[in-house]
Amino acid sequence: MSKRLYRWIRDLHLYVGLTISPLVALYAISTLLMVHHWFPPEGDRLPVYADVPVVVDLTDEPVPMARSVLRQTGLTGEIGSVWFEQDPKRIRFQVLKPTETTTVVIDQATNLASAEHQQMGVRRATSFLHVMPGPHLVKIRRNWVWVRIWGWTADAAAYLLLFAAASGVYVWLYAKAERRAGIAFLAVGAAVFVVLVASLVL
Amino acid sequence: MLPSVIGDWLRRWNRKLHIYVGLYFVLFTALFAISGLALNRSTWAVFAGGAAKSELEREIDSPSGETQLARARDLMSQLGVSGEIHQIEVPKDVDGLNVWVLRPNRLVIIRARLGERIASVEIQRRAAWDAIRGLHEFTGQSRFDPSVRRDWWLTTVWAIAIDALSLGAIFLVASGIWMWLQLRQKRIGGSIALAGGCLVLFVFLVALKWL
Repeated sequence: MSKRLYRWIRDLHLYVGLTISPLVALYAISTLLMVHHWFPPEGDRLPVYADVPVVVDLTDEPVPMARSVLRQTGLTGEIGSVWFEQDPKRIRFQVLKPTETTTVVIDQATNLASAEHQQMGVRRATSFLHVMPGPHLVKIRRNWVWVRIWGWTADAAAYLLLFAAASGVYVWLYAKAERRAGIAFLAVGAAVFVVLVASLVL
Repeated sequence: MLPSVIGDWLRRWNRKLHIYVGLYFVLFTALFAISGLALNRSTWAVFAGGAAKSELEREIDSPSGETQLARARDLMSQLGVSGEIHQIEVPKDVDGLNVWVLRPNRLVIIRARLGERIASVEIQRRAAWDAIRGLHEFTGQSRFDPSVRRDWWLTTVWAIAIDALSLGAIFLVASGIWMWLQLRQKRIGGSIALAGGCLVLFVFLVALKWL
């Protein structure tokens, strides 16, 4: 192992670790919140607008149609599921942002749209970012540019976290004074991991 | 003199613990980073999942217990099924009890016909990538429904392991930043790296409200 390579890896471990540390903290805190459901009650729904005339193109796919309505009413966000209700005939969809969820309802008889939003708070916002874009609604997910960018950011954080872990092990191998204790912690951690995963899946 | 001695001791142990905690959790970190990637990119061919289904029928005794949960547990015990109970259903049309039992790599659906004393057991085994994704999400807790509770001891142990990993990650972040603050020659580069991460967090956690 050359000294130069070691210095490079050590510096990269430092800079990569510092870059991803706010995101690692976000994922760690949101994990604790979700595992224990430490969320406050949801906030009240407050009206954003009511009975705004909109043009609805029903020949369009649901998400572009909903996006067109958002453009007409000046809203932005990730469009969630779109529901077509029959009696009365209405179109309902959610617009998601980390800190707020807006529900838009369009009366198809009159083409009037109403919207109300709900503040989600910081704790729910962290869990929103944790699970986004995620494995659900993959056909329509990432329909807002910022969720697409967050998806790339989350991917990058995962790759960089793997690099930080691997480079941390590499740097440790150079620290001779920590060799024996390090091997013990690595071995115990690996044993706990293997026993737990095996118990869960076998 | 004393503060300097204590400071040296704290710095030395901070560095040691950063190494030890990092090494202890290295496999957990790798699992959650890779499974997080697999969850976000579930459509990538490399992360393709799938399930293999099998079904069998067994004779059973009428399950005992005061609550639906206790009866479901008794039924599972008779059939040799263990895992986190995801859902219990009492069908309206037949005298029965249906139980959905989850593990990270499989879903078992028990449909008991109590009058006939027969239970069908459907096992849906997930492929490797789905099982890895399953480990990431296997907490026995719903993000939306606070009434959902963990009911299998191994789910509780896994949830404790996830808690420990989260606290370990927060410690690694804090101890790493403290170690960096002692490296004067790395102050500028480190500040840029940390500020970049903070900016990303600010944009997505706060500023998206206005975008």
